[in-house]
Amino acid sequence: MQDESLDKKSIFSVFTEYKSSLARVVKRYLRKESDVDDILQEAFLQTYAADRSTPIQLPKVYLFKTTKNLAVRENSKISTKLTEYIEDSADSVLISDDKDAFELLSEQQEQKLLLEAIALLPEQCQRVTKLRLINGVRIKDIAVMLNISVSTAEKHIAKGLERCDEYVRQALTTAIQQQDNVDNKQKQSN
Amino acid sequence: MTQVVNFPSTEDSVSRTAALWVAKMDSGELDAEEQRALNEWIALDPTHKTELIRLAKLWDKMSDIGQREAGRESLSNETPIKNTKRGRFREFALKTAACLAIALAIPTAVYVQERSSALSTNGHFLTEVGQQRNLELADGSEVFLNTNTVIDVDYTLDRRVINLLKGEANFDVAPDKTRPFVVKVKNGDVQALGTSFSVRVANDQVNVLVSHGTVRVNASDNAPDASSQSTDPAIKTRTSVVVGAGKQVIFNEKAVDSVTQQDEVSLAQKLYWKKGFLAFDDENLSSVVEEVSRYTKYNIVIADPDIRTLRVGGFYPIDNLETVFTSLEMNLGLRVKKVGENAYYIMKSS
Repeated sequence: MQDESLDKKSIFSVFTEYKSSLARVVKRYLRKESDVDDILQEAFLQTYAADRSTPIQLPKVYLFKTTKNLAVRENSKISTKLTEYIEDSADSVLISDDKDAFELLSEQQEQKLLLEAIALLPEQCQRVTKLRLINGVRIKDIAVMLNISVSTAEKHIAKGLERCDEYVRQALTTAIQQQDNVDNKQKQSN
Repeated sequence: MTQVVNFPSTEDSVSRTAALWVAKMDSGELDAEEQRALNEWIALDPTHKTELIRLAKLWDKMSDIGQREAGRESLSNETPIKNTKRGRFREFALKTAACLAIALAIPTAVYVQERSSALSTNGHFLTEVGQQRNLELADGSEVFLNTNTVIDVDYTLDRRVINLLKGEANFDVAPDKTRPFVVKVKNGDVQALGTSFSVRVANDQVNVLVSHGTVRVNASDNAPDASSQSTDPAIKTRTSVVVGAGKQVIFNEKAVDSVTQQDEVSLAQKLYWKKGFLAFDDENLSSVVEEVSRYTKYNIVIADPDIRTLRVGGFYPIDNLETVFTSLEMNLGLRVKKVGENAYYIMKSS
């Protein structure tokens, strides 16, 4: 307890001190090894940000918890699961960092865009999507809550995903066109 | 389980099928057969795989954003302080609000660990016959569900909406001026301008009882909110009233039926159910039976018409309604007989 002020001094120092044990935590939970560093970095950033909003009493505990949660979360990612399911996953597609549309956007922009897209979904589809994404309710539980079958809930999720995809691509196309127009005007004025 | 395989594989439906696979993977682990089906589908056309990966990544991204959104809500809605340590740091937290704003500019996770969000208690809640249940909602409001009740909590960022689909519930509303608290019932709604009220829906009537604060009652959504002054004798033509503590409002699908002032005793008596008791003060046996019937699956029948108007009083625990029968037998000299599995007959003793 006497070192509370020390702890407060720097999340970073705690992080550096325990980095290797944190990495072991990640490896224990994570099914693939490639992303260990990413997760450690994310864990640090989250802890750091959380500490600024409400100072964390036990940074070490918080860091370990965050790290573990992130690793578990990484496993639950669909793109992670996909690598396991696809038989010839050795080929490049999954590993390659092909630019998805979002690379063009800032994080706030993409967040705004997706929330807009979700808000435009039909009522029941929107309800299911929000319960899943924002409230973190599992699809099976959503089915029970809304008294629909699991497969119906899955279809709502699929529809929501597809619509959001369309919306974002549409918005990006428009944005790119506008950018092009601006560029052209600049060229002309030059 | 494997209908997914059977989706037609035309150009248009590639992304739909891919999205369905993503949903399926998000729903749970794929079993061996599903994995095989997935790989077969992927093998059909190279675009299948690309689309699948693209949508899987998008879904992961949406999950991240959803979580961040949930975290942001729980930050901005300042949940009640759970322990004093947090309180101690509150001032500090306020001082660092400016820093936080800067931290937000680094668009990394400002979401905290707790998943709790302003919307986290959305959904369906119900009680069985004879059951009661207290719920604490995400904003700190409390809902006490009486027997045989169904509500649907539908909070959004700017409204707190609860649909009372059946039964009776009491609402202790946590103040939040920015987000009105509305109980939708039948065609109408009850909007809390203050703190505590109960709503009961039975047949075509809705009964609103205000114990603290003020509420606005709209009998019908469609009607214009023309008049809203309380306790006017001409209230019968009104579709909307604003009433304060101690008032009971009864409305039907079109208009407000009546507004009556309840004295403290009768108000307390009408809300005894919240404490797990039924209280009767010199009421007809028939209305007592009607009330008791709400709490039990047994069919209670008054077998002799001329005892229907017998006066009954008393105080009975909801979880032990046999005491009602005992009391009827002991105090009124009636006989209560169980008939078959599901019925009780009340009759004269001789």
